[in-house]
Amino acid sequence: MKKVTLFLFIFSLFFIMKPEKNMAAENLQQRIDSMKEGAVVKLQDRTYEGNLVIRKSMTIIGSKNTVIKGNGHGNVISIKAPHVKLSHLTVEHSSMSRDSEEEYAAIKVYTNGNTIDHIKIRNSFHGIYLSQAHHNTISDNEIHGMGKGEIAGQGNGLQIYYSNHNLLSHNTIEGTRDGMFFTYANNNKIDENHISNTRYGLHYMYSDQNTFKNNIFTMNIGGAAIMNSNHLTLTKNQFIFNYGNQSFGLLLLQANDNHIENNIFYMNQRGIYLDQATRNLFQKNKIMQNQIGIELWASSNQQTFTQNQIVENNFPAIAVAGQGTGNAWSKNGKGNDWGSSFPLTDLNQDGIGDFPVTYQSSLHQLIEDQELTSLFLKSPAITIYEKMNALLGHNEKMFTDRYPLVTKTKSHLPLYIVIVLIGLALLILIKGRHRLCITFGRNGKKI
Amino acid sequence: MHYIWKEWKENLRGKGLWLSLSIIALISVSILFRSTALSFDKGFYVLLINLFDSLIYFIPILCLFIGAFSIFQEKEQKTLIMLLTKKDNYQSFLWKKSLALYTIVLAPLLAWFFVYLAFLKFNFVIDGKGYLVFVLSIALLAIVFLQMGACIGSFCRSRMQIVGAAVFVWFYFFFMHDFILLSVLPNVSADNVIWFSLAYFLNPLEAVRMFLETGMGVYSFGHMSNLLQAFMWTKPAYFLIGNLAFWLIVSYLIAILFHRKEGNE
Amino acid sequence: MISVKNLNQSFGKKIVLDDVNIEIEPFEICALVGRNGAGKSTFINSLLGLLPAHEGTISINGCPVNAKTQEWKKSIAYLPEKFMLYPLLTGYENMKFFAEAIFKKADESRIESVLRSVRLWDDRNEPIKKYSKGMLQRLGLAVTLYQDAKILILDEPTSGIDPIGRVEILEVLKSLHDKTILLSSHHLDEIKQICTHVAYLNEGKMTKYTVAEFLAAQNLGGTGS
Repeated sequence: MKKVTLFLFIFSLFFIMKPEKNMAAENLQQRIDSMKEGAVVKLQDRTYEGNLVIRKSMTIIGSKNTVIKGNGHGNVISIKAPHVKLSHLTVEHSSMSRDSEEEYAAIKVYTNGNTIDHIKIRNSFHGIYLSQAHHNTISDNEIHGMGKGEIAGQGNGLQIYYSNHNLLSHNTIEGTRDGMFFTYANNNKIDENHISNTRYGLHYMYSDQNTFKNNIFTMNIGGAAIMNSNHLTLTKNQFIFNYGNQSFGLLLLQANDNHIENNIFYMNQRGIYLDQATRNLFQKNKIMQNQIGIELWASSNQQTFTQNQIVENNFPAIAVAGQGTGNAWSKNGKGNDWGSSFPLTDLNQDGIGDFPVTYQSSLHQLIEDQELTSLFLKSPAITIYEKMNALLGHNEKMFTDRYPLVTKTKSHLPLYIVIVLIGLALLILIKGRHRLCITFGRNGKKI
Repeated sequence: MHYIWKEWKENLRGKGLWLSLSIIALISVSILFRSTALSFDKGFYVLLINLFDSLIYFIPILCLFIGAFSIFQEKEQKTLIMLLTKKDNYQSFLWKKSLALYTIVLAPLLAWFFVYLAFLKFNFVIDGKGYLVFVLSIALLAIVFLQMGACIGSFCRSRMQIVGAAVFVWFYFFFMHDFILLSVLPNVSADNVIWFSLAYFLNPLEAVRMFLETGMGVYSFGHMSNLLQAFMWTKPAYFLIGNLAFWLIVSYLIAILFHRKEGNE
Repeated sequence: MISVKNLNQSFGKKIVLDDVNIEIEPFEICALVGRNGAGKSTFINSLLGLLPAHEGTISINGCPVNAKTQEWKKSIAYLPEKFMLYPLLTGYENMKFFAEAIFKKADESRIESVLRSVRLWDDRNEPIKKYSKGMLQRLGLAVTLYQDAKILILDEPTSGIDPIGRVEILEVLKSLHDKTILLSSHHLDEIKQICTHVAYLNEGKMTKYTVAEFLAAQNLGGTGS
């Protein structure tokens, strides 16, 4: 009897201790460790306990519901060998500690030539951290932060630290502190990523000669904040709806010799914000429906704006704290399209307006002196304010575009068709109202 | 209920409400056209913000006129005096009439935006919560200005007075209020920013806009400076509730205190 | 019964009603007569409680007319001059609205009875903007009659009506034997046809006559119409 009781007691301990989990964790790490170089590990549709350290080149492929869950201490997956490929996994639950020396991530890469794709990341401090890791490909990943504007309690979607020649493409990042954070990272290609609901979609410091193409930055406090970085190329990116107080589509702070072309800046608080930036070229961008199209502080010099479409902004461009020197609003005889706000004639039909466009405003002083001015940028009262100051001679010149481009008009035929249809419907309604009243109303008591 | 029923019958058979609704529909459809032309992500939010920016010019003045002329007609048609000499006093009449006005303006408006949502579904990814916030914003804006209109109709003695008063109110909130605040803006500091904040959110247009944009998640107050934190000393929803309560009560009280029973032409 | 004692009303320095004393007994049909601007509307508004009495007291069936109590309202029904009701509603819908507004619930059989008494039952489903002036006036009467009040106060009930329409309205009024009626009028023939008494308002003073006394006084050129 005593033996049976003892056996049952020991047996029941297995249920309490959950040995299968520890065995699974030990199993995966052991399994990885036991693999040869270049092996392919296919994981099942279940949760594997982390943390994992990969010290050999290999490929790990998950299934639809494969989860690697960290233990809340350290990185969930650390890649310490080159040529590792991780694919189709969900990785979660790294350390969230802000006190540790090291900043932890769902996946931290210390080596070169790795590929991380189709990974879903959540509940982690940083998403994917490249630490002195080069020539890696990070693509098609989904990184979800805590959202709700949480800044201090979490890290960034992609943290790129002293890492060069990497390809970051087709990633979706939302709700992290910053979308991507670059420090001392050069010659990287950042393509077709989608970053939303972060502090800065791109937070960029001391990193040169990177290219950004076809990325979308929306609903961040700042779309892209580029600081202390030079020789960047930004093409075909969309900076949309970065709309909060003090928000911007693109910030260039102490950033020089950058090439910004064919981007869209749409419905931001400020489309482009330039401070202590020099010799940047803005070409063929669409800067539309922002509250301030371009905010240019006096510390910024020798910017060139050419062939941009700067239309329907509440204020096309504001020069704050002075004009700055050497800023050009045209290049090679081609200025910018300022839309219907600045009507132009083009008698010789060369696509260039017959006279320069000059914009004057008094708002710069308010913007410089009082940050709460941004609350009024959408108010119709601003127009009266500007007009009053114009009458009193308090306006200053913001820019002169000597070669403004003439706006091409679009066809509004579909809209007209709809208007006609609605008009017809109204006509039927008015003429057929009696019938409608009989249908919908009761004209007195029924007999 | 009978007030609602009576208002509904009158407006169903009249032209005013239908004309107003058709203008709102026209604006909505034209904004939809403009927004679909741009293949942006988050197009849904872009559309709603643009739509709100357009409707904000129209809905306040429309509601001012509807509210004012509805009350004035009761005086002009002598139905008010017939009601006051029996059961109602002016307070209860105004209360019932106001509720009826809210119902008959909001019902078709909400119905339209329900239909509009179906159009949007073909073009955008819908955020249900965001759309609800948008519709609520429009509804609350309508309610505030309907009540102000009822107040105007109560103390005005002629149609010309109504037109003048309604235009003045609209002009004040649209331009003058913010213009006055802009003029004092350079003097705003941490010591007096709370007063400035109260004055700012006293404007229903600003209170509603702030609620809409923060409620939809497109406007964030992340990384606030001390001054801005002091300015936003409570949530936008509470500012809106305060604004609503203030203007509804003030309009109601002014209407009761200064109402004139007869309308003279 | 309407009892007015020492009523004074003035607007600024202008005295409109000067120490008015009058009693209108039950079942009397009393015409309120006076020149334009004599103060007839002021007197009626005072009776209805719409204009607080500057001095003096008014009571209706023993209940004082003041802001604190609303008891007197139960005894009176008022039909103003130049009313329009709700033009887009039908006659029946207008009746129904007022019935529900005043009594919370509409008695449909009573509505029918009243509309028949004013000969509007067949036109009840027409929007009243299509009614003639006479029909509209009869509908207004119907609204007041529905209230079943003991006292009717009618402000120029036949104003602007053609002679035939006037006859129809007067016939309705003549049939109301159980009501006390105060009606303001400019038409002597109306007064002769249906009224029992005349309250004459002149320079702020009110004098009550029988119809015969009033007509006699009028024939002497003292009052004129």
